[in-house]
Amino acid sequence: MEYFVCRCRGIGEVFVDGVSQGTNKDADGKVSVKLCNPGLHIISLRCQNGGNCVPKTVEVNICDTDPICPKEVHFRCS
Amino acid sequence: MFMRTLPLKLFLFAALCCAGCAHYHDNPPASSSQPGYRYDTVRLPPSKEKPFVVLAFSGGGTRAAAFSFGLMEELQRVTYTAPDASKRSLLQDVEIVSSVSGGSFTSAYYALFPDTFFTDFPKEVLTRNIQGALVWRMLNPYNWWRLASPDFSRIDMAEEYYDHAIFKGMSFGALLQRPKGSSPFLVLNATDIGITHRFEFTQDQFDLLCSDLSGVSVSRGVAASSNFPVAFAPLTLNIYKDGCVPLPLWVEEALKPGNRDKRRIADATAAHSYREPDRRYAHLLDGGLSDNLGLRGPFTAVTTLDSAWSLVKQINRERIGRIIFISANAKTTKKRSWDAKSSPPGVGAVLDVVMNGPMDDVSFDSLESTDGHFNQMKQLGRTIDSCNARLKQAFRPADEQGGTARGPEPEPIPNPLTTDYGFVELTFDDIPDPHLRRCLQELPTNFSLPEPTTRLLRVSAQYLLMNSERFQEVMKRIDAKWQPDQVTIDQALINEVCGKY
Repeated sequence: MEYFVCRCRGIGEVFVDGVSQGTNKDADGKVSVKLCNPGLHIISLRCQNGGNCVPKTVEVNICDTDPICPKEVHFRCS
Repeated sequence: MFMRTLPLKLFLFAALCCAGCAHYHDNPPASSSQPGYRYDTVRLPPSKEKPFVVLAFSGGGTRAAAFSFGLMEELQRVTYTAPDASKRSLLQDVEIVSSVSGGSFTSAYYALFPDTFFTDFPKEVLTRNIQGALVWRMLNPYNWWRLASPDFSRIDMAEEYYDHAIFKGMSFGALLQRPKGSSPFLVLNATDIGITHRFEFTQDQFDLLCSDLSGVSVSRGVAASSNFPVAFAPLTLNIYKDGCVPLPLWVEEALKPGNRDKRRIADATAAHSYREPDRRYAHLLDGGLSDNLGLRGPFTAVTTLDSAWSLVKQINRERIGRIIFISANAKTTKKRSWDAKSSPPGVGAVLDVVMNGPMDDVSFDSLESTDGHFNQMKQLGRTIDSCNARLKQAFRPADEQGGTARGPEPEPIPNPLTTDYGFVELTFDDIPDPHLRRCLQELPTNFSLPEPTTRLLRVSAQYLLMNSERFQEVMKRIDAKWQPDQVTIDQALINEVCGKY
């Protein structure tokens, strides 16, 4: 199992390979660590306020992570 | 002369017409009007408050059907107090049933007829001489002519029988008509022999074939799942090339250079193969050839986001708090006496080993992988909790430690592994009575068992569940006050089925 987080100033819905994985932050505003299988994935973040998150999609190879040091994928909400 | 042979000629003409017309039931092309038989369309969104129970039923003919039925009977009796103080049966928490071969009769019947399942299934399936009925159909001259058609084989005849006698003509479309959440998501597993890969009867799989599962009978799925090699010919499905939905995004990602996960690459290659121009048909045999436990699909779902019914996705969405897998494994362990003699075993015995040896090995690996994954997830979760406890201890305020302050308390490490995992396997190997254990392990694999034998199998499953330490631990974590039922196996029944000591 591999782990990643979507860092963004705002709150958004995380998509992995086109499938929703819930929001990038929990109810307390803390970044949620997401689980995935190892390998290449397309990750995107749909901003909750209706704005676009940049970049639109990110292709990342998620491997050799652990739950304490998840892969960080960065987005900007506009 | 012509007039004298006319009846014979007419008969032959009719028979040839009949043979020419005989054709397997085509799976229809894709339809945009149907949502399709998928987890999300037949189940309500899962809730963290309830256990997410997944059942896996193995192959093994009527032996497996009766064993898995016994498990279902006991699950109905297992009740616990939910956090909202209501009483629930664990059967209500069954979200997915994944099955192979004989176990598919139980899972499909329950998915179609949950209200009458416990009263009707024993007489409709367990005590029915399915094998005898199929032999009689084979002996019917009408079917000889139909079987002469290249597009109609013994498995299509078997499917007709299952459809008429057991599953009452119900299709996957009928399952879609049921109220959402009224029966578990059914995953019937077969093997696509063109690519030697697991094939499940879900719309997500049929999307790859550009076909609509709603128009396929449930009996066709059960027939494919229990399509024992040699006894039956492979079951054929059409692969269409028009009206296809795009392949899931993960398939393309998995096939790009740089991926190291060989299982993921194999799964993506299999999915991609249905879109190759020269693949016009898929030929299916027994699901046991690729996974005789029905556990491979649930394992993929609990370890990847690639599965169409991924449980990892539900964990990420914070919709699952507790996962329980229960595997009803009706595997037999035959006692071999070959090694007492110098003469080698015969062809039949060797074929038996060739068929079952690799299957048992794959099953063992599936069990080990699932159990290992659950243990690893629990251990990692505990490790983070321990780290946080140590951090907190190391940064206690100065007055508590009697020393100098060490700075502000650090933020605890977020723990994403809060899901509770439980894996329970029911197997004859765990029956303590050696006489009964040997008796169950020696049961034949067929579709005709005497009624007392099916009763013994049912009560054995119930006994194994109630005496499983793993299951008891899982239930205590759900409800600390839960106590297992006392299940005893009637000695008279054992004597009747197994003979006296």
